[in-house]
Amino acid sequence: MKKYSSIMKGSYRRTSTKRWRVGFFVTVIVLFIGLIFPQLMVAVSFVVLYPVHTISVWYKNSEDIFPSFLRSRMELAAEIDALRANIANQNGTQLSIQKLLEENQQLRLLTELGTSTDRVSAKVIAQPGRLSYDLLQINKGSRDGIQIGAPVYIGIDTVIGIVVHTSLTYAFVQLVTTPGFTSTAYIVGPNIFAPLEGVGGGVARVKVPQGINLTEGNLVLLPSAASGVYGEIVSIENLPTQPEQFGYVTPPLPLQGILYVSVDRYIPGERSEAQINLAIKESIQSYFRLDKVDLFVTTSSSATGLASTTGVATPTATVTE
Amino acid sequence: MLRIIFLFLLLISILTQSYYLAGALYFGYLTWYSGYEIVVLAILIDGYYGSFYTFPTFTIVTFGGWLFFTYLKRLLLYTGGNEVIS
Repeated sequence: MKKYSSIMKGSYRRTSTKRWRVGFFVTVIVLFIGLIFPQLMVAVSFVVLYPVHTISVWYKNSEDIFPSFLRSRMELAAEIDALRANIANQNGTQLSIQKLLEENQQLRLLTELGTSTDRVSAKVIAQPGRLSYDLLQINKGSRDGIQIGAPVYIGIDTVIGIVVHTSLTYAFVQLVTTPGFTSTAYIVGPNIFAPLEGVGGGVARVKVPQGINLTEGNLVLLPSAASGVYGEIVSIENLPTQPEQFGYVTPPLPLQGILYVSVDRYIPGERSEAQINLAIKESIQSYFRLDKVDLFVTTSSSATGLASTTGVATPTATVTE
Repeated sequence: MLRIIFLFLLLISILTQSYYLAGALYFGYLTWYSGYEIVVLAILIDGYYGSFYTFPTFTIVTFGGWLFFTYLKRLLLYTGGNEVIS
């Protein structure tokens, strides 16, 4: 940086103003001439820019090695970008398809349940993430027969909560996992009753004394609900210094994945011990039973002799002689 | 010499439709040199693309940019002692 102490503000400003004026007048005159005689401007530009024009045409269209190499490289880079965008789109589409398939399966299940008069199918409007409370909001209310206290299910027999508030057109469901929710659960495996309490965030926990053989994967039932399978133990907290151990339980679907539910029309009444034991027994048995399976027998003759096959198949029975 | 190379590259990048490079060179030239030749270049480019048949937008914009940056430089070049630094 040089300092021109001899050039003072006044003199520089005069020079600069003169430059501006000259520039302004030249531009205005050229624009004026250009707008009146555009052919002239085009001709002058073409003559002046001819060498540059030739170079740009050579670069864009020539089959020589250097411009070809540059063009190919740029085209390949553009193709790579396009392919990457395509892959990103396809990944998004795959996820959408997966979500739609899951929704479709839930709807199919609800269609089967819809034929039953004991249940009302409802769509989940808002999950806990969208609400201020750890509740589910569904799009059916007292007008559709929803009552406070009715159990809410996903699928056929997985109870996830109870209705705590109804209006004409919507209702709120308190989840089993809502903090403060307490119930008595039956744990299949150690075969004991234990208190279950909501922890929040789609997780509940059962509290059992030390020494009970609690393992991950143990099925947890809520016998107070009709056929109350709840979920399975996914994690165990067992500190030897504590008098009890905790088993953390989650439903089969994450809360954000619950799109449709079904609600019992009837509030469960008081049950006797025998009824509860029967419900538990049925639930355990249904867990080991494969529905919609028919026996088929196939008998065929061949050159080597007789062969017979017995097995299972879905959905229809087949008997071949 | 650098100035001429700068202008030539700007011209080439505009004619080969490399607009990102052209934009960078254009603003670089305006801020660094602020020479009137960029207005002449804009007039030539407008002539090349036949913009004088309609309206020479690029020339007007470049002329406005040249005025602006020249004025901005004039504001920034004075020291406290009323001297000019370049």
